[in-house]
Amino acid sequence: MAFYFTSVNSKVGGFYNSIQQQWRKWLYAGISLGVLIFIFPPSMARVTTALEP
Amino acid sequence: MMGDTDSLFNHTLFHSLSSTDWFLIVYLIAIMLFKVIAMATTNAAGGVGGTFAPSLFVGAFAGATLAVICQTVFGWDASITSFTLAGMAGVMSGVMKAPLTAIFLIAELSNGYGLFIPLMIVSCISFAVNYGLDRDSIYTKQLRMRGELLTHDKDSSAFVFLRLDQLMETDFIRIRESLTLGDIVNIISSARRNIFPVVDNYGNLLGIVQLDDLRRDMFDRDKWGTPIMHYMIQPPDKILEHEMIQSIMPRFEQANTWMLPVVDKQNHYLGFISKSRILNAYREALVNVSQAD
Repeated sequence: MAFYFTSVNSKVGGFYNSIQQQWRKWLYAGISLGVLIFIFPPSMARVTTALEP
Repeated sequence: MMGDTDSLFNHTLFHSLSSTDWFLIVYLIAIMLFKVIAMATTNAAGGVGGTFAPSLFVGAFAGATLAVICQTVFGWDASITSFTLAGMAGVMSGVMKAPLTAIFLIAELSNGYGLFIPLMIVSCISFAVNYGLDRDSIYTKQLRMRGELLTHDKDSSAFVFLRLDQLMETDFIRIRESLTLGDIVNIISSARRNIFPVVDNYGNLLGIVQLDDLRRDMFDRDKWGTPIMHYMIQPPDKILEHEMIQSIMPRFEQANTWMLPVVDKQNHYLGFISKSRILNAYREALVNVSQAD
């Protein structure tokens, strides 16, 4: 698992290093993080119950 | 996480599947795998994703997943809390290559030394396996890939301080391809170097002319009309402007020369780099590195 951690980290880092334009990095990262957060949303159980009257 | 797996599925698309055992395992593994991608993406794109906390997170999920698998698939009585803590220590020691830090951090975190032996075993195995697969920690890996890692190897450490653009010599007189030997003889009288780069109107390096090759003909006035292209030779090798000094030295050996021209990617002439200058600078850098210890 730790090896997966380091190898994925360097592979993704290499992919983003190969992109020259900064806006393109932000675009790709924004889209992929957006999809990930949609599929795995933060579990805000306590926040929502606190907000409810 | 004290076994309350239902809260994992809050606000997700998979809420209806939350009571399914196999889906819980798949979901835990998916979170674990995608967390790494999310962290790496954030870091690589310029954000602050951290590496320390994500490695603990991934470790916690790895341990918890194993505990859940043991409970549901094999029916063993595995403690999710203990497995989670051991997983955190294991992944952390593998990622940071710091087994002792992992052992003590998690032992302090769990507020007791009851788990000390399992933590030691997990950390040591994880460290050993990861060290076998990849010797660098996540922090030193990028430095080593850029050739900037300073280690106990003083020889390569000294090379790190040498920069091609600082060592490059640019006091060579550029000559055009249309000149003749007579023009060059006039130039030579005021030149300090014995190599002349031949460039076209756009600054592209066409070749080099060496004084040694001209010596026989330059005192013979009848030959002064000879175009300089007749004496031009191709350099044995060309150095690109951003190359590391470490990769340049073997090229001098291969080309068996003391001077090589430096060009950019479009073959524009920039200057010359000489082996003796590199060796001098290397000596100074080596002295500095040795004194710093």
